Amino acid sequence: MKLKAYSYSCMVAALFCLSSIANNAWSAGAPTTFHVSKDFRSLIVQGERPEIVACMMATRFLVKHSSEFEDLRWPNNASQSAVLNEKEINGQLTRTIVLQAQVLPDVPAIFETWKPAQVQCKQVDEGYPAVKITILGGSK
Amino acid sequence: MIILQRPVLGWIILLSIFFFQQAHAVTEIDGAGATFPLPILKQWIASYESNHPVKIDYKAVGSADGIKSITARTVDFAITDIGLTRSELSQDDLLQFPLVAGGIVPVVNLPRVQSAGLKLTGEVLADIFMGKIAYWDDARIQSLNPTLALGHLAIKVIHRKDGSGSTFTFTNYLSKVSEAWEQSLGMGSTLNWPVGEARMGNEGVAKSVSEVEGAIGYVEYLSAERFKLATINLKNKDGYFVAPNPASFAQAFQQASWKRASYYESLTNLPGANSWPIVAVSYALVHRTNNDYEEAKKTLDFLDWIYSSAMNQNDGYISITDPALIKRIKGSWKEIKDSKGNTVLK
Repeated sequence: MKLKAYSYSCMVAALFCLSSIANNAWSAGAPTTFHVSKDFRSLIVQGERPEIVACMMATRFLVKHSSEFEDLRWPNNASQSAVLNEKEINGQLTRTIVLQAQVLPDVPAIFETWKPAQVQCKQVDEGYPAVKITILGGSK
Repeated sequence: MIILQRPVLGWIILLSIFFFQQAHAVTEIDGAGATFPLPILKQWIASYESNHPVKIDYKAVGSADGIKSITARTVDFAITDIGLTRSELSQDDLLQFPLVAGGIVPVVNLPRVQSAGLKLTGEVLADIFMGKIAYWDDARIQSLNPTLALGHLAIKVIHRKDGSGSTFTFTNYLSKVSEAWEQSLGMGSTLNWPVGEARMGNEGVAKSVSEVEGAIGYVEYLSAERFKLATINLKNKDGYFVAPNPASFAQAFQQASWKRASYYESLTNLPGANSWPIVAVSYALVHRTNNDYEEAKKTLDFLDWIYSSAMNQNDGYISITDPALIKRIKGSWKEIKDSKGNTVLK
């Protein structure tokens, strides 16, 4: 009985270690932290750039209703490193925002494998941002 | 003769004090946000408080922190030069309208260079802020200023530390005039600046530029004047070198259409022979719903006074004076409700 409990503990510890390795493998050892705030107010209050929060919200909504992705998380420097540009042609204002994220693909797997992704939002005339997520270094 | 008994007299005195206090009660309204309109806001607040039983506490913490404060509902209004779009405003039930506008001006601290003495193009300015041009005697700067003796002095870039509408407008301009800037950095209230030192608020940047020889920064026009900083002449979209002044700001400002529901306007790199290419709009932000009635009413009274006051005619800033625009803005205030769902303005 004692031996069985010991084996079980070892197995859980091994699984935990493997899961950590899988989670961090993409970052090549770089210490990266993430945040998972989900609503506009939390994102603003935690200090995200106000001009890109609508894009972050639209991205989360897309992931929530997507069959391709199970979850999304933002590196803490996602907001700071985002590239926003806007153009006004014939009075029509178009904004594009490119920012970095991590997504968890919705595929059967033993371990959670977060993948780096590029999010691109296009906002035409102040409308709801259209979002495109591209997994980096592999197929979508 | 009526002789009042002591208890009755006591009640009368107490009630008199109560009604006197009610009549002279001072409501406090709180605002936070942009440092860009601070000089004119200080004047407005002082003038308004001297004639109204209201205390207005405005904290100049930068546009991004102003948005943070209104979102967290720790203030009654925010002022931001980071114009939000309808998509962002709708996320938190916010109402946005323009309050005042003015110019963002690059300022330098160079020996023997006075205001309007140095000429730059947008592309050269972008390359300076990207660190691609590191010395003032760089051939590209010298060729624009053949008569200036620019020594081999290192360029020290000073930018904003806080989330700032001035940065938002300045980088919006740089994105429009420099492809390299557009692709690598874009526009924003804060950025991963490739070079330079960060300072808090317009005053922090102005003070730093005034103290450091070889420095360049960007501030609102009146800060440049107050710190006696040398401004530059910038080549505008039509190819003219323009000096920053109220007339050149006005030429750009007059091109605003105000057609969007959010009133968002981008007044950078606009045409016109005398059009200054970096003009910022300060917007007021209030919540549409769930407001404290008294504070929301006093806030709107103050904003109403700003639009109708002669105080608006201030050098260095551009007022909102178009009657049709003001009518539209005030019309939107009818949507503002208190915590019981009653409209604040009848």
